[in-house]
Amino acid sequence: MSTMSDAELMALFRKEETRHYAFNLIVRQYQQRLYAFVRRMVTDPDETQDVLQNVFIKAWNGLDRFREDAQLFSWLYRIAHNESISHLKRMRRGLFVSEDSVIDRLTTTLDGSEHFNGDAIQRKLQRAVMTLPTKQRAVFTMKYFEEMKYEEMSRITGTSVGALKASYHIAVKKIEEQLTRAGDQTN
Amino acid sequence: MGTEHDTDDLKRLAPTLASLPKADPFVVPEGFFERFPHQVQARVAKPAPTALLPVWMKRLALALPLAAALAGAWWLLRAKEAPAPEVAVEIPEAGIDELELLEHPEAFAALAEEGAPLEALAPTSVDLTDDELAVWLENESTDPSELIAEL
Repeated sequence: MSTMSDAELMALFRKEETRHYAFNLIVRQYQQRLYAFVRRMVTDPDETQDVLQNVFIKAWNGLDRFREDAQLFSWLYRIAHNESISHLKRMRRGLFVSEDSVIDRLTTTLDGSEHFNGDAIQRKLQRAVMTLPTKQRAVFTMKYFEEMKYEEMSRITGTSVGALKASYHIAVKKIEEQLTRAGDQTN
Repeated sequence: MGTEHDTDDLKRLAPTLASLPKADPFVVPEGFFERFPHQVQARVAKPAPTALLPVWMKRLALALPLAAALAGAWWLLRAKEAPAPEVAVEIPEAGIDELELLEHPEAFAALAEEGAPLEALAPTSVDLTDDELAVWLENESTDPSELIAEL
């Protein structure tokens, strides 16, 4: 699929007759990258679909207010980041449990899912990522998997670059520790 | 995207993590990315729901009747526990001396001196001179037939 620039997409979106067409193009253009992020955050494929739908509904409702000096992808990613964190908070409130219990549930979902085809070390990495607190997991996912720059992450999360660096550093240390834990290499 | 510096940092900080391939092990359900844009379009094409109340208004709408019910229950309980005290209105009986006092013009004069206007005390407004008033008071207890006889 050929991609269009943000300016082209927004020009189409601002015309009433091409509004829906432009939005469809936006969804098609960005759905895969946003899906990858949301899926890593919430794990379950059905919940990922719900969260991603909410992301695009919010985007539809707010696109008129989108400032074109920003990148459309960063703006969408910011919504996806906030929606994923809100979803996990709602899950915690709905289950009346602590963050640790939510992490347990996510790990169990990961272990029992037929939608996960990683090898043993990949499974171990994902389980280690799941043990991170929600916001730290988002930071790790953006930096390690998506290879984003700290400046862009800062725009998305609303957190300072320094705080993001510190958060990522701690996350990496925790994950490395879990990966190298003796006697637990293949689980 | 990440820089070389980031990769070096990662190798130094977490060599095991840095050595892993960055594969995406999550399997996307088949046909998901073909279906998904239609699902989103279907949702945005729906007519906008009626303006939803803000969360604080919803909470207030729930809290107000509850508060009113609680206040009512509290008021009823208090009313049962402590019955309203009987209001004893004591109407002092006027003594004979006081009634007699009213028959004398000196009493009115004394009241007038205290600041109460005489007009306010009189049941009707009658313009009488002091002499006329004295005659009227003198004759008030007199039988009318005697007065007619005097005339």
